[in-house]
Amino acid sequence: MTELFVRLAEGALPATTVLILLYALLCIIHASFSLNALKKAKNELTSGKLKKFMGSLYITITLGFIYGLWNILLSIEVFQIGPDLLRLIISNLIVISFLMYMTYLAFLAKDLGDEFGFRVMGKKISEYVKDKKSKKQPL
Amino acid sequence: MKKVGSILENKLKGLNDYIALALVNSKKYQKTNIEILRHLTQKENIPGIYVTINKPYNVMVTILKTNKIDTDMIIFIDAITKLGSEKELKKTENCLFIESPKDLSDIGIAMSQAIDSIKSKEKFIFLDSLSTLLIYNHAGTVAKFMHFLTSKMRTWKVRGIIISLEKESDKDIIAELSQFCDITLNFK
Repeated sequence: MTELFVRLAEGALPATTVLILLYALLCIIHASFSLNALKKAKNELTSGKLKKFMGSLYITITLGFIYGLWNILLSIEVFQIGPDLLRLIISNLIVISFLMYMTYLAFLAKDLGDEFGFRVMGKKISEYVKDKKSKKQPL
Repeated sequence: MKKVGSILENKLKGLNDYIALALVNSKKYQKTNIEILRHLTQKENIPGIYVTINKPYNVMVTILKTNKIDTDMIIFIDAITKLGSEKELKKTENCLFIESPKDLSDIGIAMSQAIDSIKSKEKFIFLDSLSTLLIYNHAGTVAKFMHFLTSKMRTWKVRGIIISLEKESDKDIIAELSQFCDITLNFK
Protein backbone atom coordinates (compact mmCIF):
# COMPACT_ATOMS: atom_id res chain seq x y z
CA MET A 1 0.00 0.00 0.00
CA THR A 2 2.79 2.45 0.99
CA GLU A 3 4.59 1.49 -2.19
CA LEU A 4 1.47 2.46 -4.11
CA PHE A 5 1.37 5.93 -2.54
CA VAL A 6 5.09 6.39 -3.20
CA ARG A 7 4.59 5.42 -6.84
CA LEU A 8 1.53 7.68 -6.98
CA ALA A 9 3.51 10.61 -5.57
CA GLU A 10 6.36 9.99 -7.94
CA GLY A 11 3.96 9.90 -10.84
CA ALA A 12 5.19 6.44 -11.66
CA LEU A 13 1.69 5.00 -11.97
CA PRO A 14 0.15 4.92 -15.43
CA ALA A 15 -2.52 7.59 -16.00
CA THR A 16 -5.21 4.99 -16.64
CA THR A 17 -4.54 3.30 -13.28
CA VAL A 18 -4.76 6.64 -11.48
CA LEU A 19 -8.04 7.40 -13.24
CA ILE A 20 -9.52 3.98 -12.42
CA LEU A 21 -8.40 4.41 -8.80
CA LEU A 22 -10.06 7.82 -8.61
CA TYR A 23 -13.34 6.62 -10.12
CA ALA A 24 -13.37 3.58 -7.87
CA LEU A 25 -12.76 5.73 -4.79
CA LEU A 26 -15.58 8.07 -5.77
CA CYS A 27 -17.81 5.07 -6.38
CA ILE A 28 -17.07 3.67 -2.92
CA ILE A 29 -17.61 6.99 -1.14
CA HIS A 30 -20.98 7.60 -2.85
CA ALA A 31 -22.12 4.01 -2.39
CA SER A 32 -21.20 4.05 1.32
CA PHE A 33 -23.20 7.21 1.97
CA SER A 34 -26.15 5.93 -0.06
CA LEU A 35 -26.14 2.54 1.65
CA ASN A 36 -26.04 4.18 5.07
CA ALA A 37 -28.97 6.50 4.26
CA LEU A 38 -30.95 3.69 2.67
CA LYS A 39 -30.39 1.39 5.64
CA LYS A 40 -31.78 4.01 8.00
CA ALA A 41 -34.83 4.57 5.77
CA LYS A 42 -35.42 0.83 5.36
CA ASN A 43 -35.31 0.25 9.10
CA GLU A 44 -38.17 2.72 9.58
CA LEU A 45 -40.47 0.89 7.17
CA THR A 46 -42.80 -1.98 7.87
CA SER A 47 -42.97 -4.86 5.39
CA GLY A 48 -44.57 -4.28 2.00
CA LYS A 49 -43.88 -3.19 -1.55
CA LEU A 50 -41.94 -0.08 -0.63
CA LYS A 51 -39.62 -2.07 1.61
CA LYS A 52 -39.13 -4.60 -1.21
CA PHE A 53 -38.20 -1.75 -3.54
CA MET A 54 -35.74 -0.35 -1.03
CA GLY A 55 -34.26 -3.82 -0.48
CA SER A 56 -33.60 -4.16 -4.21
CA LEU A 57 -32.16 -0.65 -4.38
CA TYR A 58 -29.87 -1.62 -1.51
CA ILE A 59 -28.61 -4.65 -3.45
CA THR A 60 -28.08 -2.53 -6.58
CA ILE A 61 -26.00 0.04 -4.71
CA THR A 62 -24.09 -2.76 -2.98
CA LEU A 63 -23.16 -4.11 -6.41
CA GLY A 64 -21.86 -0.64 -7.31
CA PHE A 65 -19.86 -0.65 -4.08
CA ILE A 66 -18.42 -4.09 -4.86
CA TYR A 67 -17.47 -2.94 -8.36
CA GLY A 68 -15.63 0.08 -6.93
CA LEU A 69 -13.83 -2.07 -4.40
CA TRP A 70 -12.94 -4.65 -7.04
CA ASN A 71 -11.39 -1.96 -9.25
CA ILE A 72 -9.34 -0.57 -6.35
CA LEU A 73 -8.04 -4.02 -5.51
CA LEU A 74 -7.05 -4.57 -9.10
CA SER A 75 -5.43 -1.13 -9.44
CA ILE A 76 -3.29 -1.40 -6.35
CA GLU A 77 -2.46 -4.99 -7.21
CA VAL A 78 -3.19 -6.29 -3.73
CA PHE A 79 -3.59 -9.77 -5.04
CA GLN A 80 -3.00 -11.37 -8.36
CA ILE A 81 -6.02 -12.94 -9.92
CA GLY A 82 -5.15 -15.50 -12.51
CA PRO A 83 -5.25 -14.64 -16.18
CA ASP A 84 -6.70 -11.41 -17.61
CA LEU A 85 -9.67 -13.32 -18.92
CA LEU A 86 -10.76 -14.28 -15.39
CA ARG A 87 -10.51 -10.64 -14.24
CA LEU A 88 -12.55 -9.57 -17.21
CA ILE A 89 -15.21 -12.21 -16.52
CA ILE A 90 -15.52 -11.20 -12.84
CA SER A 91 -15.70 -7.48 -13.71
CA ASN A 92 -18.36 -8.13 -16.33
CA LEU A 93 -20.35 -10.38 -14.02
CA ILE A 94 -20.57 -7.57 -11.45
CA VAL A 95 -21.56 -5.03 -14.11
CA ILE A 96 -24.17 -7.35 -15.64
CA SER A 97 -25.67 -8.12 -12.20
CA PHE A 98 -25.80 -4.38 -11.54
CA LEU A 99 -27.61 -3.75 -14.83
CA MET A 100 -30.02 -6.64 -14.21
CA TYR A 101 -30.89 -5.25 -10.79
CA MET A 102 -31.38 -1.80 -12.35
CA THR A 103 -33.95 -3.29 -14.75
CA TYR A 104 -35.64 -5.15 -11.90
CA LEU A 105 -35.80 -1.88 -9.96
CA ALA A 106 -37.41 -0.14 -12.92
CA PHE A 107 -40.10 -2.85 -13.09
CA LEU A 108 -40.66 -2.61 -9.34
CA ALA A 109 -41.05 1.16 -9.72
CA LYS A 110 -43.55 0.62 -12.54
CA ASP A 111 -45.48 -1.76 -10.25
CA LEU A 112 -45.46 0.84 -7.48
CA GLY A 113 -46.78 3.47 -9.88
CA ASP A 114 -49.54 1.17 -11.15
CA GLU A 115 -50.55 0.07 -7.67
CA PHE A 116 -50.34 3.33 -5.79
CA GLY A 117 -51.33 5.70 -8.58
CA PHE A 118 -54.82 7.08 -8.01
CA ARG A 119 -54.73 9.97 -10.48
CA VAL A 120 -57.47 8.67 -12.82
CA MET A 121 -59.57 7.32 -9.95
CA GLY A 122 -59.37 10.57 -8.00
CA LYS A 123 -60.19 12.67 -11.06
CA LYS A 124 -63.26 10.53 -11.74
CA ILE A 125 -64.49 10.90 -8.16
CA SER A 126 -63.85 14.65 -8.10
CA GLU A 127 -65.83 15.11 -11.33
CA TYR A 128 -68.62 12.87 -10.06
CA VAL A 129 -68.94 14.87 -6.82
CA LYS A 130 -68.86 18.17 -8.72
CA ASP A 131 -71.59 16.91 -11.00
CA LYS A 132 -73.65 15.70 -8.07
CA LYS A 133 -73.33 19.03 -6.29
CA SER A 134 -74.36 21.00 -9.36
CA LYS A 135 -77.42 18.79 -9.79
CA LYS A 136 -78.36 19.44 -6.15
CA GLN A 137 -78.14 23.19 -6.59
CA PRO A 138 -80.09 24.09 -9.73
CA LEU A 139 -79.73 27.63 -11.04
CA MET B 1 -79.96 4.63 14.02
CA LYS B 2 -80.76 8.27 13.63
CA LYS B 3 -78.81 8.78 16.82
CA VAL B 4 -75.46 8.45 15.00
CA GLY B 5 -76.32 11.25 12.62
CA SER B 6 -77.42 13.57 15.40
CA ILE B 7 -74.31 12.80 17.49
CA LEU B 8 -72.14 13.66 14.48
CA GLU B 9 -74.10 16.81 13.77
CA ASN B 10 -74.04 18.03 17.34
CA LYS B 11 -70.47 17.21 18.20
CA LEU B 12 -68.81 18.14 14.93
CA LYS B 13 -70.89 21.22 14.24
CA GLY B 14 -68.84 24.04 12.75
CA LEU B 15 -65.72 21.96 12.29
CA ASN B 16 -64.39 21.89 8.75
CA ASP B 17 -61.64 19.42 9.30
CA TYR B 18 -61.30 17.20 12.33
CA ILE B 19 -60.01 13.88 13.56
CA ALA B 20 -62.57 11.89 15.46
CA LEU B 21 -62.04 8.65 17.31
CA ALA B 22 -65.31 6.73 17.16
CA LEU B 23 -65.75 4.13 19.88
CA VAL B 24 -68.29 1.59 18.77
CA ASN B 25 -70.15 -1.19 20.47
CA SER B 26 -69.38 -4.52 18.77
CA LYS B 27 -73.10 -5.29 18.37
CA LYS B 28 -73.82 -2.03 16.60
CA TYR B 29 -70.50 -1.80 14.79
CA GLN B 30 -71.70 -2.30 11.24
CA LYS B 31 -74.78 -0.11 11.55
CA THR B 32 -72.73 2.69 13.11
CA ASN B 33 -70.17 2.52 10.29
CA ILE B 34 -72.90 2.72 7.68
CA GLU B 35 -74.56 5.68 9.39
CA ILE B 36 -71.28 7.59 9.66
CA LEU B 37 -70.60 6.96 5.97
CA ARG B 38 -74.16 7.98 5.09
CA HIS B 39 -73.66 11.21 7.00
CA LEU B 40 -70.40 11.95 5.17
CA THR B 41 -71.43 11.00 1.63
CA GLN B 42 -75.11 11.99 1.63
CA LYS B 43 -75.60 14.68 4.21
CA GLU B 44 -72.26 16.43 3.76
CA ASN B 45 -71.81 15.25 0.17
CA ILE B 46 -68.05 14.82 0.37
CA PRO B 47 -65.83 12.17 -1.26
CA GLY B 48 -63.19 10.25 0.61
CA ILE B 49 -61.18 7.17 1.37
CA TYR B 50 -62.33 4.06 3.20
CA VAL B 51 -59.49 1.99 4.61
CA THR B 52 -60.84 -1.45 5.34
CA ILE B 53 -58.89 -3.85 7.48
CA ASN B 54 -61.97 -5.61 8.74
CA LYS B 55 -63.99 -6.83 5.80
CA PRO B 56 -62.97 -7.51 2.19
CA TYR B 57 -63.74 -4.84 -0.38
CA ASN B 58 -66.41 -6.83 -2.25
CA VAL B 59 -68.29 -7.62 0.97
CA MET B 60 -68.01 -3.99 2.06
CA VAL B 61 -69.29 -2.67 -1.27
CA THR B 62 -72.26 -5.05 -1.20
CA ILE B 63 -73.14 -3.97 2.34
CA LEU B 64 -72.83 -0.30 1.45
CA LYS B 65 -74.82 -0.61 -1.77
CA THR B 66 -77.57 -2.52 0.05
CA ASN B 67 -77.74 0.39 2.46
CA LYS B 68 -77.86 2.86 -0.44
CA ILE B 69 -74.49 4.43 0.23
CA ASP B 70 -72.98 5.98 -2.88
CA THR B 71 -69.76 3.97 -3.29
CA ASP B 72 -68.78 5.99 -6.37
CA MET B 73 -67.68 8.72 -3.99
CA ILE B 74 -65.26 6.49 -2.16
CA ILE B 75 -61.77 5.14 -2.90
CA PHE B 76 -61.23 1.88 -1.03
CA ILE B 77 -57.93 0.69 0.37
CA ASP B 78 -58.32 -2.95 1.27
CA ALA B 79 -55.65 -4.51 3.48
CA ILE B 80 -57.47 -7.76 4.20
CA THR B 81 -58.56 -9.44 0.95
CA LYS B 82 -55.04 -10.37 -0.21
CA LEU B 83 -54.31 -11.98 3.13
CA GLY B 84 -56.79 -14.77 2.56
CA SER B 85 -56.61 -14.91 -1.21
CA GLU B 86 -54.37 -17.14 -3.29
CA LYS B 87 -55.15 -15.20 -6.48
CA GLU B 88 -53.04 -12.27 -7.62
CA LEU B 89 -55.31 -9.28 -7.03
CA LYS B 90 -54.79 -6.15 -9.08
CA LYS B 91 -56.13 -2.68 -8.44
CA THR B 92 -59.79 -2.38 -9.47
CA GLU B 93 -61.87 0.60 -10.55
CA ASN B 94 -61.87 2.15 -7.09
CA CYS B 95 -59.95 -0.15 -4.80
CA LEU B 96 -56.31 -0.84 -4.06
CA PHE B 97 -55.41 -4.10 -2.39
CA ILE B 98 -52.57 -4.08 0.15
CA GLU B 99 -50.78 -7.38 0.89
CA SER B 100 -51.41 -7.44 4.62
CA PRO B 101 -52.57 -5.29 7.55
CA LYS B 102 -48.94 -5.49 8.70
CA ASP B 103 -47.84 -3.36 5.72
CA LEU B 104 -48.45 -0.07 7.48
CA SER B 105 -45.97 1.85 5.31
CA ASP B 106 -47.82 0.73 2.18
CA ILE B 107 -51.17 1.69 3.73
CA GLY B 108 -49.77 5.13 4.56
CA ILE B 109 -48.44 5.69 1.03
CA ALA B 110 -51.68 4.48 -0.55
CA MET B 111 -53.67 6.87 1.64
CA SER B 112 -51.39 9.77 0.79
CA GLN B 113 -51.65 9.10 -2.96
CA ALA B 114 -55.41 8.60 -2.82
CA ILE B 115 -56.07 11.77 -0.83
CA ASP B 116 -53.89 13.82 -3.19
CA SER B 117 -55.79 12.48 -6.18
CA ILE B 118 -59.18 13.73 -4.96
CA LYS B 119 -59.37 17.35 -6.01
CA SER B 120 -62.42 18.33 -3.93
CA LYS B 121 -61.87 20.88 -1.21
CA GLU B 122 -63.48 18.71 1.44
CA LYS B 123 -62.69 15.03 1.80
CA PHE B 124 -62.74 12.34 4.44
CA ILE B 125 -60.66 9.39 5.60
CA PHE B 126 -62.43 6.53 7.30
CA LEU B 127 -60.25 3.95 9.04
CA ASP B 128 -61.98 0.67 9.82
CA SER B 129 -60.66 -0.26 12.34
CA LEU B 130 -58.04 0.37 14.98
CA SER B 131 -58.99 -2.84 16.80
CA THR B 132 -58.19 -4.99 13.75
CA LEU B 133 -54.87 -3.20 13.20
CA LEU B 134 -54.00 -4.19 16.75
CA ILE B 135 -54.60 -7.86 15.98
CA TYR B 136 -51.90 -7.84 13.32
CA ASN B 137 -49.40 -5.34 14.75
CA HIS B 138 -47.76 -4.54 18.06
CA ALA B 139 -49.49 -1.82 20.07
CA GLY B 140 -46.36 0.37 19.90
CA THR B 141 -46.19 0.12 16.10
CA VAL B 142 -49.90 0.94 15.79
CA ALA B 143 -49.55 3.92 18.15
CA LYS B 144 -46.64 5.23 16.05
CA PHE B 145 -48.60 4.70 12.85
CA MET B 146 -51.68 6.43 14.25
CA HIS B 147 -49.60 9.37 15.38
CA PHE B 148 -48.12 9.64 11.89
CA LEU B 149 -51.57 9.30 10.34
CA THR B 150 -53.27 11.88 12.53
CA SER B 151 -50.55 14.43 11.87
CA LYS B 152 -50.84 13.69 8.14
CA MET B 153 -54.62 14.12 8.33
CA ARG B 154 -54.07 17.59 9.75
CA THR B 155 -51.76 18.54 6.89
CA TRP B 156 -54.21 17.13 4.35
CA LYS B 157 -57.05 19.08 6.04
CA VAL B 158 -59.48 16.18 5.89
CA ARG B 159 -62.26 14.86 8.08
CA GLY B 160 -60.83 11.81 9.73
CA ILE B 161 -62.87 9.09 11.40
CA ILE B 162 -61.01 6.32 13.19
CA ILE B 163 -63.23 3.45 14.23
CA SER B 164 -62.40 1.34 17.24
CA LEU B 165 -64.31 -1.27 19.14
CA GLU B 166 -64.73 -0.59 22.82
CA LYS B 167 -62.52 -3.35 24.20
CA GLU B 168 -60.95 -3.65 27.60
CA SER B 169 -57.68 -4.85 26.06
CA ASP B 170 -57.34 -1.78 23.81
CA LYS B 171 -57.98 0.76 26.56
CA ASP B 172 -54.38 1.96 26.79
CA ILE B 173 -53.94 2.63 23.09
CA ILE B 174 -57.38 4.25 22.87
CA ALA B 175 -56.38 6.60 25.68
CA GLU B 176 -53.12 7.35 23.87
CA LEU B 177 -54.84 7.87 20.54
CA SER B 178 -57.50 10.16 21.97
CA GLN B 179 -54.67 12.62 22.70
CA PHE B 180 -53.97 12.95 18.96
CA CYS B 181 -57.65 13.25 18.03
CA ASP B 182 -59.85 16.33 18.31
CA ILE B 183 -62.82 14.48 19.68
CA THR B 184 -63.85 11.04 20.94
CA LEU B 185 -67.33 9.97 19.88
CA ASN B 186 -69.07 7.29 21.88
CA PHE B 187 -71.54 5.19 19.90
CA LYS B 188 -72.47 2.61 22.51
